[in-house]
Amino acid sequence: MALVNVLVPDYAEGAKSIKLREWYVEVGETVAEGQELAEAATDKISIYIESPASGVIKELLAEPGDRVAVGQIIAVIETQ
Amino acid sequence: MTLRGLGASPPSSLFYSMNLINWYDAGFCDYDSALFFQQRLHAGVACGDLHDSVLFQENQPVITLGRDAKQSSLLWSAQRIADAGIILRQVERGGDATYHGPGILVISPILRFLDYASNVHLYLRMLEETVIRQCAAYGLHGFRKNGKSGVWLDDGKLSAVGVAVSRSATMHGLSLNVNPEWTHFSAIVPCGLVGEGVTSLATHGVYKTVKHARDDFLAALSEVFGAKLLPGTPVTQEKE
Repeated sequence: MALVNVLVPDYAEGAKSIKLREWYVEVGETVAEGQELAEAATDKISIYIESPASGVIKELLAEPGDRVAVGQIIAVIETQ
Repeated sequence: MTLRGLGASPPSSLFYSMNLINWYDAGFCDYDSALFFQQRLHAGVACGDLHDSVLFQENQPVITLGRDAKQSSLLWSAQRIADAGIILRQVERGGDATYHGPGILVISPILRFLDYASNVHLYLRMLEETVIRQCAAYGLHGFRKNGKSGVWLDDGKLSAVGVAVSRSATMHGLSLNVNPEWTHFSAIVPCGLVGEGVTSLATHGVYKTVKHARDDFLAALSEVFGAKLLPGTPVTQEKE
């Protein structure tokens, strides 16, 4: 087993004041690589954050409405 | 910063690999049909089955509410909006309320944007730059306003932008007021910007059909994104 971090993607760099809008998954849920886990948004831009690996959501580290930064860890996935 | 095309054209004497972008024109259509087609294009582009694409459309009257839309941005009641023949749609792009209708060119680039820009913020600026260059070709001075997205002329907003990124491919994009009927604009506070006006090419004496504005946008897009534009398979019959 290994732990994989879910980060706010680098390509959101330059977008000011990114807000986590919504989680599409819960702790304990099985997810597939590439699955959309959450939506973050800034003025004029919506960003759908994908799962970097298949596994089970172990932790969600930000709440909807929280301001997040590029590179910030917002979730942890436990892989097989 | 990775940025291709925003600046001088590539030297013709050097080898230069251009991305290919297919463009499609849904013509004059209802918003839902065009959105369905856009989603299909996005699925194809995101998984690599399709080239990067740009979808053009001119919508039957519709107010789209972005993810940040405020209730106060709607100035008419839902009943009055419906009575005026305008449909109301919640969409997944960022931004507030936008009206689309006859005389407005809606442009949805569906691009693996990291091939053109290092981040999504820069991508948004490149879309604006495309409209600014199109304006320049008409002899108009289009510009950005600090803190306010889109492209502006001296009397108001000409082009609104709002994008979504999923699986590293973009959706939605921008609208360009070519020669719209203004009545319906009074149903909303465009983009939620109180006290700001909207304007059009026609207001500034540039009388273009939506189709001609499309062709001029394509020319500017090719320049800014450093891409070769080719028509994709037609979606529906074009409105001349």
